[in-house]
Order: sequence, then C-alpha cells, then structure tokens
Amino acid sequence: MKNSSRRSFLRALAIGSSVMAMPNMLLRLSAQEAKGEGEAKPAGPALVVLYLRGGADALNIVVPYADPRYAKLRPTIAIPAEGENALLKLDDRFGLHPALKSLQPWYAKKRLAPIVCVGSHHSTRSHFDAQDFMEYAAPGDRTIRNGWLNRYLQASRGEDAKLRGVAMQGLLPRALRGDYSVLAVPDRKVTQDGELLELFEDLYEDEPGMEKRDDEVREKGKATVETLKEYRGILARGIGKRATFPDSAPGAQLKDVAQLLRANVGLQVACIDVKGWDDHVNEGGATGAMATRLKSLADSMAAFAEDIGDRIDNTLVMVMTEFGRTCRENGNEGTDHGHGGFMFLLGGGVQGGKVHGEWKGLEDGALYQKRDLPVHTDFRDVFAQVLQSHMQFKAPESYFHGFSPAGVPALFKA
Amino acid sequence: MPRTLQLLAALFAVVWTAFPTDSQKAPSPEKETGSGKETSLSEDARIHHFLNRFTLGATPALAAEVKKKGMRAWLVEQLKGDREEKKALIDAIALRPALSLTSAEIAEKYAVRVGPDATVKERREARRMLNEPPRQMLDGVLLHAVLSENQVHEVAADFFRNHFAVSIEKGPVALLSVDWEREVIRGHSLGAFPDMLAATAHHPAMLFFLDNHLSCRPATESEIKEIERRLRNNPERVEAVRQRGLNENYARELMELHTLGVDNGYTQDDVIELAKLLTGWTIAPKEAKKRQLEFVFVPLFHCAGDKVLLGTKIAANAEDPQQEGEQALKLLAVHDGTANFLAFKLCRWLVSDDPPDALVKRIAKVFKDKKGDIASVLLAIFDSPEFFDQANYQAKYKRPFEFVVSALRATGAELVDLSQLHRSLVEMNEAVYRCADPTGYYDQAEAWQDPGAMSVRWKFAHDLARGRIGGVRVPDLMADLPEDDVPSWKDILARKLLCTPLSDTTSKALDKLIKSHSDDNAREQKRDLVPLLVAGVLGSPEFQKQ
Repeated sequence: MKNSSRRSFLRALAIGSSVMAMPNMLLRLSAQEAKGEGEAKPAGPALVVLYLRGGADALNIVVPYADPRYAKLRPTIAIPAEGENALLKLDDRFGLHPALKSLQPWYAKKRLAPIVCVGSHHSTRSHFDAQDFMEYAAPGDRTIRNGWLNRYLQASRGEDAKLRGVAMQGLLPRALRGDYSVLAVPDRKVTQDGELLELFEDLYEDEPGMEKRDDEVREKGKATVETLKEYRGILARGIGKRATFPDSAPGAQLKDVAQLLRANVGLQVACIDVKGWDDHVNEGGATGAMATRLKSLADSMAAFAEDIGDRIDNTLVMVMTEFGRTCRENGNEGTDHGHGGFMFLLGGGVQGGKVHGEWKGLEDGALYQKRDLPVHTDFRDVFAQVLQSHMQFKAPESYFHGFSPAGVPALFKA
Repeated sequence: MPRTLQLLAALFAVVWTAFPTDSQKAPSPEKETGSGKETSLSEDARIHHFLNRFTLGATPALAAEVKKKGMRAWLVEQLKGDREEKKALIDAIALRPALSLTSAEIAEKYAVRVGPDATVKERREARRMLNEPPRQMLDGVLLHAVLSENQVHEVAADFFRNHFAVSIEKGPVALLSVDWEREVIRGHSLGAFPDMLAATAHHPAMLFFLDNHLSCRPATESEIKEIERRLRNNPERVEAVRQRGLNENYARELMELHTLGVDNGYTQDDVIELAKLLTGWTIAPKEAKKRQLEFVFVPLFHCAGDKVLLGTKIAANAEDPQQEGEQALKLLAVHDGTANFLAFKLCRWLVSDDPPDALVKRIAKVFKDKKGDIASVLLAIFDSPEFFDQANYQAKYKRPFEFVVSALRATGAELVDLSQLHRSLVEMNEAVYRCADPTGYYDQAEAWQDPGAMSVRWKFAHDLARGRIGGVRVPDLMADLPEDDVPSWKDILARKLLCTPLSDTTSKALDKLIKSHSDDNAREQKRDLVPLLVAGVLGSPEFQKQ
C-alpha cells in the first residue's frame, strides 16, 4: 500500500524531482520537431542566468576608481586606475576589472548594464541562506519552495509548454526548483562514448516477465538514455558559424545554451552556476585567482552574445551573486562575506552603456555596518523589472510574497 | 560581568542559520500491515538480501562466511562491532594521524595562526593544515566503509551520520568533525540511543551547526550599555550581542529530526520551551586566543523560570540550570514518539522505503523496551518476518554513497588517494558531511533517480573499471577469466561483483557486447571488453538496487 501523501511530499523535496516529468517533456519536444522547421514561430524572449556562487567581490568587478577611499581600503588587491593592467573606465566614477575586457565593447554598444549596490536587505552573511533567499526571492521566509524562475514558468505556462526551462548542470539551482518541470542536463560525458551509451541502452531494456511499474530503476535508466540521445541530437544540429568559446565550464555551458536557442525548441530560461567566488584568501587584484575566473566568465558571455547573432536582441544574460564582500581587504589578501553586491545585464532591451544603481561612496557612514557595500536596489526590483520589461510578464501581486516591487526605472529601453 | 563579556566577545559575530528543514515524515498512524506471507527466496537470495542491507556491499567471501556461520549468528557477532580490522585499513588509518587526535590536539597542531607579516606561502601552508583534519576525517569515513570488517557497524554509522547530520561547510564544524565522527557517530551507533542523543547535544559541532551557541536570554539594557562601552571599537560585535536572543533552530530540529519526527505531537510552544531549556548550552574557546571550541554551559545566558515540555513540567533549577536541559534530553530520548520515529526510520533504511506499520510498531516497542539499545533494534528488524519478504528483495535503490562503496568493495579496489572518490560523490550530490540541510541525505529512491545522477553512476562504473579514477587501484580483473572461454566471462564477473545471477536483460546485453568484440585479440579484450563488461555489471539495474 503506497502512502501517497508521503510520496508526493518526498517527490516535492527530491533533488531534481522536477526531472521526473522529463520523458513527457521530450515527447513534446520531438512532436514539435516533427512539425518541421519550416513553420518555426518567431522566437520569444529568453533569459540566461549566471549565478556566481560564493559571493563575488563586487567592488573589484565594478570598481569605483574615482573614490579616494577605494585604494586605501585595499592596499594589496585594489585595481589600478592607470598604468599596466589598469581598469577599463566606464565613466568618471566606475571602471570594469581589466579581465572583463571582452565585455567592454558591449558596454560601448550600450548593450551591457552593470548595477551597483544591489542585493538583499536581509542581514544574513551565510552563503546558503543568502542564495536561498535570493533564488526563492523571499528573504527570511523559509517556507517558500518554488524558485523565482520556476514561479515564472509555472505562471506563464501556455498550452504547448516545450523545453522552456533548463539547468545546464546535473542539479537544478533553487531558482528553478519547484512545481514546474525543468530539465537538469545529465552528464554528457557518457554520450561521448557511443559504445558505452549503447551498452546502457541495452542494459535498461525491459526485463521479460517484470511488470514495468515494478521496476522504476529501469524506467529511470531508460529515460536517462533517451535524454542523453535527444539532447545530443539537439546539440549536434549546428547551424551557421559558431563563435569561439573559452575552454571553461561556463564556456561549454553557454555554448550549449546558444545551441538550444539556435535549435529553436522554445527555451525561455536557462540557469548556470559559476562556482568559486568565496575569495577569503589570495583573491588577487588585476591579476590572480579572481581575475582568471572573471576572464573566463566575460569571454564566455561575449562569445555567447556573438554566437547567437540577432537573438541577443531578445535574449538577456543576467549575472548575479548572493552578496558582495567586505570593502576592506582582510589579512589574507582576500575579502570576507559582505552585504551589497552587483549585477550585470547583457542584451535584450537593456539600457546599457550606463552604470545603474545609487552610489554613496565608501566613507564609513555610507557603508553597511561600516564595512560592506550597502544595498540601495532590492534584487527583487530588478527581478520584477526583468520579468516585466524583458519577459513581457507582469508578476501578480503575490509573486514576491508580500513584497511589492517598484522596479528599476530606466533599466530597459522604453 | 567580566566573565560574561569575555564570553560574549569570544562568540562569533557572524550569525549562521541552518536551512529550513525538509524532514522525514513520521509514520502515519494507520496503514495496512505488511503481507507477512511466507518468503519464497532461495537461501542464496536470502544471504544476498541480508548482505545488501546489513553491509555496505556483498562480496563472495562474505557470502561464504555468512553461509557457513549462519546469518543470525554472524549478525549477533557483528553487533558487538569489535572484530579485528585487517591490516589494509589499519595502515591506511595510520597514514592519517589527525584521526586519533582530540579536538584540543587538532587545534594545537593544525590550526596554526599566522602573523600579519606572514608570506603568501606561509598563509597557504596554514590553510592547507587547516583543511587536513576534515580531509582525513572524510577519508576515514570511506576507508572504514569499504574496508572495515565490522560492516554492520558501518551501516549503523552511515544511518546516524545522516540522522544527526552536520556539515563541515559550516565554519568550525570542519575542525570539530574528527571528534564528532569518531566519538559521537562511530562511538555510539551500536550503543544506546539516549547516550548518543546526549553526546550530540553536548558536542560543539552540533551546537554550532544548529545555532544553539547563539541562543540566550536577551541582554538587559544595562548589560548592552556596558558592552557598548567596553567594545566601542568593535561595532559589529556589539551589534551581534544586541541581536542575540532565543534561537529556536536547534530546539526545533532536536524534536523534528533527532527524536520525535515532524508534526509528531509537539507544538510551537514546545519548541520555544525547549529552546529556553537549552539556553546557555554554548561553545567557547578552551583558552583565550585558542581555536579549540568546546561545550560550555553559561548560567548567565540561561532563561530563568519553570518550563513545560510536552506536557511535563521541568522546574527551574537555580543551583544547576544545565540540569534542566539534561532533563529535557532524557525526556525526549525515551519518549514514545522518539521510539516510533527511530523505528520507522531504521525500518525504512533496512527493509523498505515504505515500511509496513505493523513492523514499525513492533520495532518501536523493542526500542522502548530495550531503552533505545540500537543493537537490539537492528536484531529485531532482522528477526521480523517482513525483512525477508520477497517484496522487499532488491526493492531499495542504493544511495550514491552505497553505490560507490559497494562498487569499490566488489572490485576489491585499493584506495591510495581518495580525493577523486570524494569528487565523484560531489558529482552524485552526496558529498559526505556536506549536506547543508540538517535532515541529512535522503534514503529513499525518489531522491536519487534523476537522469543526471544515473549517468554519473555509469560514468563512474566505467572509469573505475578502466582504472581511470586517480588514487584507486583496481586489481587485474582478467585474472579470474579463462582466456579460451570468453562467453563465460560475464557470469564469472557477475558472481564476483554482484554475488547473484544476472537478469535476463543484462545477460543479453553483455552477450551482445562480447559478440561485438569477438574479433578482438587478447590484448584488446583486456583493454576494452573487460572494462565494458565490468561497467555493464556495476552500471546494471540490479547493481543499483539492494
């Protein structure tokens, strides 16, 4: 006798639970493909979220070089405003970290918008809490279990929902977890070995004499093989010239997103985790550990934007992190968990070529608890603005669980 | 007052809070009883089933031993957990010296403070040293799981590591985890549950992980003024002190996850009362400026007054307020709800994802009658008719940890460096001691069957078979295979790796593979075919089950 309430309860909790509906999703996908490519509908807006896990050091990414306090707070890790490895000036207040060079042309073309002092007003400095609160878009409320993007997919679902949401990694980020089925891409390394994939296809065939429903393992295995093959099929359909992506995790993941967009399978939301931003030690300045990561990120983003061509006009790339870091460097040439962070918005109808967000300088009185960047823009205002201006989705009153977003004026072109 | 200040100042300014809890459900009150029908499993299948559940991986040698001795006699002996370990394990543990040190010794030896003038190299070395104890602890967990002769103890430790989950990702838990794993988990997992519960509640790792170290009565206005005066150069710390008050996190999880189970007869008022009872149970450095944190009870933090927990009055104990918390723990440890919840979870772990109510009720009674003696409970589960019910044979899905450990045991792998194995578990989303949720990792199949995880297992099986997992040496699997009889290989490998015959589908798939390699020469067969056959067995549906 199954205990259905416990089962559904577990299902809701299970890691990657949403993937359970995947075979159906693939069937829908195949059906759509079968219709033929001739009658392809014009592609709708797409959102690609890059989440920098660990709390990226906002102050060394969008650098307030004109503030005399900046260099003083960071004797060894400040980015020089002039000379070798100097920052890339955006205006008379801010410059980009030099490793972000490949994003500079996009800023010049007014397609890249940095936002400073954005984040959550919640006081937590815990990675887990801060990420949770941000991805569920409900700071302090632990009862919310649908991610902000899952809520979008759920609320805006149409009759012919296709491959609308995807995480380019085995595990769904919390932003995509929830009631709506989202595809978490399985390990593709298996597909590189054709013989191995064929072996597992054979191994997970139905066992004679065994009722299907009695063998969930076999069903799951079969679904895995199917997913790997389908997914490989989509990615193999290369169209046109490809940009050169850096040989890094975000590079490979963004390359796959670009391919999914090209394949025109109805993709609306893709999430990618970019790990390793918890720079307590040896963070480096213009060069070093964080600079290496920034370069990989920026080069991947630039390659993606180039690769998808005109699709960048209705594709928005968002870069976010759970919090920024201390304004003063610590004793280990690094920084500790802070408060206000940053965001990048690239593409879509974003009003680029301008640094958004309020800035009050780096004097102690302007900082949060005299140590961290303050939060002047609530991240939910950005989320709401992106949903409204880019995804053409007006979030209902209840969307942010008691928070009424005012949006961010002038973040998008009118 | 100075003592208070010293302690307040010593405590961490950063407020960590644990995750919301997705907890296991307590058994529903009424459910149909298990079938109780006669088992029709063959003797070999019974032994296979027994080893699947009461060890972390069957091997032909173990199957033979159990067959000779009898399952029950073997289990009774195992429940003592004192069988002598093999040299391979003893030697491997000896290479990890932190494992035998106390938390004080670990702090002294590994948590080296570097001065402000230290070079980058010195800082890097200090950081490496700091990471050594948790790294060695994680190695110890896997080494014991794979190599220990006391496999029933390993199964119990695996259970309680998840029942009383802490994560080394959270601050000082990393350094404290060596002592936690050795003394609390390994030390008590075949002992008495009330002792184990008490050990967890007095351990700095748990008090920190679930924030009880921050929980105290609110400071009075005059105390805050005094603190502001004394700590005026440290506004953060003043703020931290000001924000202190009752923290319910540990009290809630203590009932929801460790004892009674969610929604099992306690209210929000009980959570608050238990939190009050445990105020003052905190952690502090043993000596000023030392990094070793230990359990301390601070009477000044304690909420005064009588409390009522689960309908039982716990009178204020002004002389020794710590005893109030001790009393609460004793009350919880032998509570009917705790017996039910632990019985349910252990039956789910060992019998079925959906254990029959009749079984759970019977086991709960044993738990209660034997005052939480875990060994008696495990034996009672083995003795119950439901255990060998045909419906439960191969009915549980291996967690990633169980899959990896059983694959290593099956292949007889030698573990030289375990870092890549730990990474494999990260890829499979079950990194040991890194579950951020205090629920621990889920035991039920549904949590682990997403396609992503499945393909990672296949890749692991293939990498292992090809000797591509760094630091892991797999013995020559060709050794047992007769060169002149290639078609026999699959069954030989199945006996060795799976300890039971292959399913028809697997057999057919492997036949097809052998056929497609029939033109290979001996060298190619060794290089390509054997690893594929091994990967096929380890990646087969039957090897994912237990």
